[in-house]
Formats: sequence, C-alpha cells, structure tokens
Amino acid sequence: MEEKIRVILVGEGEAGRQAARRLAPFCSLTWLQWADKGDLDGEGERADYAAIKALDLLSRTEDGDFEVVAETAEGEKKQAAGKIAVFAFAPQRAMPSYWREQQERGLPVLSLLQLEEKLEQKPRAGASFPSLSRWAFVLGRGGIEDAASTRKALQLAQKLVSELQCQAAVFYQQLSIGRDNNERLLDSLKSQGILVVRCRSPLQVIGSGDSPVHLQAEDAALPASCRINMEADFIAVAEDYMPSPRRKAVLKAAERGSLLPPVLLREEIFYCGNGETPLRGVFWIENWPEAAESFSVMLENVCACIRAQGRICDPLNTAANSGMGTKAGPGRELQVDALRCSLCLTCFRVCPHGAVYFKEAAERRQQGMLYNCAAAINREICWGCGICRSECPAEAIQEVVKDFSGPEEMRFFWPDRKKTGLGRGKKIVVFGCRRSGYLAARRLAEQPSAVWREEGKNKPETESALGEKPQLAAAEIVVKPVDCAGSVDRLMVLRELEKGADGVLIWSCHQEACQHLWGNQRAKKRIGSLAPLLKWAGRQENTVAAVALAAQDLRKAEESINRLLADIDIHAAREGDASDHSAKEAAGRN
Amino acid sequence: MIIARRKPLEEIEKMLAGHRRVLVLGCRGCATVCMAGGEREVKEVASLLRLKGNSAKIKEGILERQCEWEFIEQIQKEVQEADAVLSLACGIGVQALAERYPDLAVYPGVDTSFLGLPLRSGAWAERCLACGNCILDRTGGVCPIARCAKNLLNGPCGGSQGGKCEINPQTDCAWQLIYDRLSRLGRLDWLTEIQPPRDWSRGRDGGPRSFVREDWEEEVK
Repeated sequence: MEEKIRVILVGEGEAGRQAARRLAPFCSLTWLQWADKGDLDGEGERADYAAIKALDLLSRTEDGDFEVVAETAEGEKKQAAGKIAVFAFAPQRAMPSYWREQQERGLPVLSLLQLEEKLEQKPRAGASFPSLSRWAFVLGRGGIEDAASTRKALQLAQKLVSELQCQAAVFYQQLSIGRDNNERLLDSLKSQGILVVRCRSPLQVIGSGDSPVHLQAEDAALPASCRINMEADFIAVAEDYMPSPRRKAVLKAAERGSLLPPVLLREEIFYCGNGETPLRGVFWIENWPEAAESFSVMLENVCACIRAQGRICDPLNTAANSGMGTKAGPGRELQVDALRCSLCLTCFRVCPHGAVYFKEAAERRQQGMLYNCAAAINREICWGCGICRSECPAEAIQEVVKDFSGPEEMRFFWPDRKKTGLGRGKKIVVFGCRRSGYLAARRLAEQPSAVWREEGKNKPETESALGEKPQLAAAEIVVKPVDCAGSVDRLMVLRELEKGADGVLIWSCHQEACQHLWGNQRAKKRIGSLAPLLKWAGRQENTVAAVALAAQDLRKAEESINRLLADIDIHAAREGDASDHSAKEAAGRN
Repeated sequence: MIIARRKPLEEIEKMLAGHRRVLVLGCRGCATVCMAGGEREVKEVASLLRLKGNSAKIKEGILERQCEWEFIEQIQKEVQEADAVLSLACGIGVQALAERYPDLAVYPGVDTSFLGLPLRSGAWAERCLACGNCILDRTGGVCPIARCAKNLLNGPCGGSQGGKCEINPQTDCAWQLIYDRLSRLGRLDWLTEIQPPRDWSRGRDGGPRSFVREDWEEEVK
C-alpha cells in the first residue's frame, strides 16, 4: 500500500473539522485539537484546548484531586492543588453537549453565565458554595474572537478570589491580550496570586526549510507528556478566524512560490457554529492528491515567509499576530463621523470587543469644535456588530456598505391555514440576527407552508406560480438581517412602524449565545423601553417584541409571529369597538 | 456636565398643540452626552410625534451648541419656516433660542436636572450645585452642598446610618464620604473645626448671577 503523505492539521474549529473530513482519505492526518495528540473524530464536538487540558488533569487524579504546576510571569514555579474545578466558558463557544458529557462524568461544570449568577448571590466562602472554597478554574477562552469573553473570564477570576476567597486559575491558550485592558487585568490577576496557566504555546516550525516540516510545541507550564514534537510533510492550515492581513500574507507567500495555481489555495466560506453561519477566511487546498508537489512548494514558502518575519508559525497563532482579529460583517464597515462625535464615550463603553479608541480629528479643529479628537473604530478588531451604532446618541456612527455579499433582505407570506383571517393584510418586519433569527426565518420561508418568498433583489414569482395559495396568505413578513440584534435601535423600529409596518419582531440569539456578549440583552432592554412610548403614540405596546431563539427554533419563531398577529388583531378589534362606542355616544348626544 | 432627561411625551404633546410647523431641535453638547437631546433623541421624538398622528409638520434639526449665539444664528432659515421649536437642549439653550428669536414659540423638550457625571453608561449622578463658593478644599473633594440632602456644612446629621442617607437609603451619606476621605488623607482634625454660616449671596440667594472677566470682555459695540 502506498504510504500516505503525513499532514498535521492545525485548527480544531469548524474549519478544522471540515478540512479533516476532506483530507482524511488522502493522507495520514494528525489533527491538532490540542497540543497533545490529535484525534480524527469528525463527529466529536469542538473542544476547547484549555478545557480538555483541565479535564485531563482532573481525570488522571483520584477523587478529583489534582495538581497543577504553573509558571508565573516572573518565572517562578507555582504549585497548587485542589478538589473541585469549575469551568467557566466563553458563552458563544460553549457547547451544551460537550458540557453535558462532562457533567455525566460527574465533573462539576458551570457555564460562564451560571457562575456569574452564583456570584451574584454572593455566598459566603464555604457556606452555600462549598465546592468553590478550594479551587475554581476560570477558563478564559482565548483566541482573537473572544476578547470580550476573555476579559469577562478574567474578571470572574478576580471576583472568585476577592468574594469567595477561593483559589482561582485562569487557563488560556491564546489570551486576547491585545487590548490594554486585558493585559492590565492579567497583570493584576498575577499580582493577586491567581494562577494564569497557558495551555498551549505557539507551535514552532523547526528546520532549515527542507521538508519534512517539523512542528514543535513546548510550554514550561505543561507536563512533559503534553509537549509535542511532530514531523510531517505538510501543515494544513484551517483557521476560521484568521485576520485578513494575515490571510493576505499567506496568500501572497503562496503566490511568490509561483508554482502554485490559484485554485490550490483560496479563501473559502465554511459554515460554523450551528452549521449555518458562514465564516470567511478558511484556507483550503483543493485537488489535494494531484497537487501535492505544488502544495509542498507553497507550504515551504509559507514557512519561509513566517521564518523571515521572525515569528513562530504565525498563520497558526492568530492572536499573536495582531492581538485581535477582524470580523466586520462581510462587506460592511462601521465608521465614525468625527464631526458628529460628541465624545460621550458611549461607544467605547458598550463595544463588546474593545474596538473603539480615540484619535485626533483634524477636521474638528478646522470647524472650531469643542474637542479636537473623536472616536474611531479599529477595523482589525471590529466585528461589525453595530452595537455602538445603535447606542450612539449623536448618530455619529454609520454603517458603510462596500461589495456587500452577506445575507439580504427577504420577504415571504405567512400562511393563514385555519382561514381565520388572522393578521390578513398586515405587515411584520423581522430584524433577525444573522447567526440565529435570520437563519430561522430562512428556514421558515423554505417551509412548504410559506406561501411564497422573494429573496434579495429577485422579483417575486408570478401570481400564476402561486397556485391556490394566495388566498391563504395572512401577513407579509419582511426579514432584515442584522449583524447582531444589539444593532437594532429604537429608531430603526420606529422608522419601520412609520413606514407602515404593523409589528416589529427582533429575533436575537439566546441570552448566553450572543457572539457579541451582550448585544441581545441590550436589544431586549431597548425594545422593552419602547413599549410605553408606543402606548403613548396610540400603538399597542406589544407591537414590538424581542424574542431569543436559535436557528433551528422554528416553533418559537412561528409562535412569535402568531402571537404578534393575534395581538395586533385583538388591538384592532378593541380600537374598532372603541370607535364604534364613541360614534354611538356622539349619536346619542346629538 | 449638564444632565437632562426627556420630558414625558404627554407634556410635549400638550405644548405643541395648535402648532402647524414644529422644529425639533437638538444640541450636540451636554444634551447629547446625557442622551436626552442628541440627534438620536431628536429623531426619536419626531418619529413618535408623527406616529401619534400629530397633524403638525415636524422637522428635525441639531446645533453644535444651543448656548452660543453664533451657532444659534445658523438656524435662521429653519426658524422662519417653523412656528414652534421644541428644544431638546438644556434650559440655557431654550432661553438662548427664545432670546434670539423673540417672535418664535420655544418649548423645552427636556427637564434640565443637575450638574453631574455618568456613573456608568446610562446612569448619572449629581455632583455640583453651582453654589458659587466652592468649599471642596475643606471637605476632601466631596461636596456637602450638592451631595448632602440637608446641605450641611457641619455634618453628619443624626440620620446617617451605615454610610447611607436617611432621606434616601440608596444615596451615600456625603459626610460619611467626607469622613472616609479625610481619614485617608490623615486630615480628620479638619472636621473639628466648626464651619461658620456660609455667604449664600454668591449662590442663588443673591438673585440671578453673572460676572465679567474684564481682561477678556469684548468692547460693547
């Protein structure tokens, strides 16, 4: 049997999983899920490096006792032991089934949110919360995408120590410490005696540039058994969150190899998270077996490029590259109009990714304005969630659309199956988060019960194509995709109502699942505050509702539409009664 | 910073009754920062008025600051087209508009509340009463005039309980804060000094205040 090419696949996310599936038939694949050993279980859930590390430590000791040796910033070795581990996890990357599995194994596992809730109750150390009294791990899910949640995890560690007097350790793989705040926080954690344990050092590419590629990971904080030293013919890079400059650098390196046809290395969209959310920035090598030779040249070039830059295996270590990632929505960008900025700091305070900073704005000085600096958005860090735009009281932040290739507005008709006439002729506007609500809406529209749908700029199907269905149509549903429910402000809702919508729904992600940490919660609060204003304007209070759902929660989506339609109808009936009544009264007086 | 909050919409509606062309005018200064009268609020109020079915023609506008004559000059044209302005600036802005455009009906859209600072995004607290005679040097940088419910100069009163004020248990007792501050500074002995009654003539009790800095004052033309 022909010997297979040895490949190390780096990237244990969705991209890694999908790349693994496609690479596996052709090569002997070592999939680095964590800097320990690979496992090619395509069906397995994506697991957090740090979590696996901590669980591994736990499971290898008896009665849940374990020992951790870690190196502090000063190089001093610290040793600690404990009984209980609590895992706090970045909310958006938490995997329910993974945690369920750990819980079934009898390990105490708490999600970030649960832990936070418990801390809110402020138990006394050792009293109502005995399991925390000796040890608590707070896992800062590293990586460029989780600046905010990492920060949150670090803050939690601080809280655990100060309020519960328990010991805490922060496990991380690539802390998003690009932001000064996190770095400061990290320092303060260390000064408080909180262990900060790095679980994976950046991988090193070793060798003079000749094949085979030698990959090494060493980390003083790790037990020797966890260190790796691997040999491979190639490294396949599968990263879904690679910042665009880094992507470009790798592509350029590949181009310089000049032997590489462009089809071999390209950006591809993979579907991550719930299997539906498209993410850019994944490298994939097409026609693998045929192009092995070119691929090898390309990889050599990549490696050479990396070495030339004096970085260690840069494309694999996205956090080290820029400190932060880039994740603005496809083709969209948020920009601050410096002349409008009031310097109120709201954007700076609400940005979940720490992307807002302040810089001198010469145009302000020219206009003789009060301050000569204004807010600005770091595009490398910004995810384009739009929370800042929706909160800016000066309306200074605008979304600029350039070559937008993301999801488009979509409309369909809601079936009136029972022919009750409920909501007939009504129009509902749905703002759907493109990670949940919008996907649910797409699915709803694809259901056979939806009368017909019009997508993007396509013209609606001709009436004849509708068959018998038009008479079943109740309400028209217009779905507008948003990058985060938190970007839907009160004004957007009011404008829709002004334009003739009868109701507005905001379909956000579940509370714990917001990619932008608190976007969905802010949206909910904001929409709640709109109710009394709508009441004053003579509209029904629940004409506008925020509903948390997941992409597959079609029932919840359906229910929310039905409820809204019912509410609108009841209100209309009441209004009708009231006007009848007043007409009668008037007639009586006459 | 001046902190204001939007008036109840019912009140606004009552003021605007009978007007045909209304200009809702915001301010990019303090009113924006305290989220009461910035561009967003202007648009929201205008939108709500339209939704309510207000028959007046409602326009939106915003000025850099409504408390400067040069900026107020800029809306001459808009003002000519309107028969009423709903100003979302602080009371100073409303009065400046009324003074500059004497034939125009100018209504306040916000209640100017206090001089304060944000505690966090969306929450503000009072810090200064603009009493005209600052004593922060003697009180460790905590103002008993603005922050003590009784404006005590020789506090605390008997109602200070657990560091909180008896008038509102949510509020910190200013004199507790002063005590804590001075003890940190090692200046507790200052508290033994009795503060004499204050000269309130430089505060509101002396009538409307104004002052001139002669070195800066422009020649009256």
